[in-house]
Amino acid sequence: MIVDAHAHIGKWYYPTAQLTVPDMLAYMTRYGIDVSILSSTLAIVYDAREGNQELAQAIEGCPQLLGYVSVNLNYLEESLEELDRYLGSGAKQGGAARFVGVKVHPLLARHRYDTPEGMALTRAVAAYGVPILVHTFGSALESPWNVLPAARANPEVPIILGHMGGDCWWEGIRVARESPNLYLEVCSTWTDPEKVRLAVAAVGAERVLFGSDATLFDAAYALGAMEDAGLSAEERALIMGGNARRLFGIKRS
Amino acid sequence: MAQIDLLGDVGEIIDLDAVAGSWPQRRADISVGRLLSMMDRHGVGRACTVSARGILYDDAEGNAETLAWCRDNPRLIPVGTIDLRKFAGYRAEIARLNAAGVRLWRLFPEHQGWTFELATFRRVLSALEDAGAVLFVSGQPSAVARAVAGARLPVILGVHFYQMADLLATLEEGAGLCISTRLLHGPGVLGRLVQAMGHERIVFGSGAPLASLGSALGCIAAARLPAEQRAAILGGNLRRLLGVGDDR
Repeated sequence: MIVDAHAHIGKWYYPTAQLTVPDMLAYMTRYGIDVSILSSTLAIVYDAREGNQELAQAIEGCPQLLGYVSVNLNYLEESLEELDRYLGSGAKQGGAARFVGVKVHPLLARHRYDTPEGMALTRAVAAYGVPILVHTFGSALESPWNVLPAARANPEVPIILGHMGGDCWWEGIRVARESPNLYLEVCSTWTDPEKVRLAVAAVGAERVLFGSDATLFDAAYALGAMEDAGLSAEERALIMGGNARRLFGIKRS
Repeated sequence: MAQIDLLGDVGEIIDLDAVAGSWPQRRADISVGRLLSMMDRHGVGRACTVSARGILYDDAEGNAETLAWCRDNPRLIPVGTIDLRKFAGYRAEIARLNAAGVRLWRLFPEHQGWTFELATFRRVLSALEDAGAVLFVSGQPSAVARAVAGARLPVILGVHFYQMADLLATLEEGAGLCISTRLLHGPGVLGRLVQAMGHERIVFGSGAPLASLGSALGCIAAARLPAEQRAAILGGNLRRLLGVGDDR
């Protein structure tokens, strides 16, 4: 079972194909991806509340699609309301019931994770028992090191370092070694054949997850990179789906 | 993986964008042996290979290393480079490699910290024109198109699809650039580019072994182009540009 732990739905501000839900389901079938966990581009780029609502409608009735609740650390109070709306006890109807994690994008919000807001959000997510996917890359604003204080303070919350640090993926690996609740998600423009192997050597295959960054990237890009990662069958099974199933509570259909 | 199988019979695959040597900026095995094993694994026939030593440390030493590798491994096509930070001796170096049969040249502003409006670039460009070279550089499409406008040599541009809007605008303005596929991994980007400029000036590149050949080939397969276009992008166009035959 292949689970894409880092995907999106919605418009991108590049002249690329703007993939709809039917497009996404078609490419998942083509590539053998069984489940994709999506965040709304509208939510991470512009308005979290509006985007989450759009995502809830988009994934309703599609068992292959699950959602991240996107939050914006500049709007902490509203973000906590969004958590309750989509992850709280009242969120069992329709599309809302299909949210299984939280997405934070420090770069697009221009808000570092090692702030009181990042700490408060992580503490709040602990009550819902779901993972947080944090976008990480090389700049100071989005460094994977920024996630470490909140991870240490909330060891019961799984935090996934999205892109595992991107253009400084080796920093992502170093950070993940520092706290057992940190996970590495592999997709980015940087497809160094060594990086997944080194991630596995550092933290174990149980803490590495496959993601594609679709619909920003064609999923073929990340899938092709996994071919060159030199994984054993057991490692591959964990990374391509087993870990995500465990973390997000995904059952085989 | 299914996406690679989708490539079908495409003739000889030639990779425009390979590097070998040592890489200090992160842990990576970019030895010639590793490059060849990746090529074998993915069915790549030949790879245009530049020395990392030439990019980062000493261009002449790197070029000598490249020539030696390519003598020992006929599947590697030698790529020359000039370090614009040094500049001194560039004409002699271009002449030396030209005499050794080197046709493709790469310059690396992204690693050496220079920009296309510098006089050093204009002088080296002129020398490459005189040598009948093909130039491969990465950069912002507008800046590269402006810098090479009217040049008497083919220029291949490496560009991330995040700069696709600028690339399309540059092509609308009539730029005759060729384009490397290396970072065109956005959905539908390759198909859009074929619509905008035809397929004859699009060339497959991977960045191996620093980057995954599987990723690069997967994106070509995903574009679902007609077989003859796919074959041209994966090898035929570069053979024509470099004036080399099909080695299969």
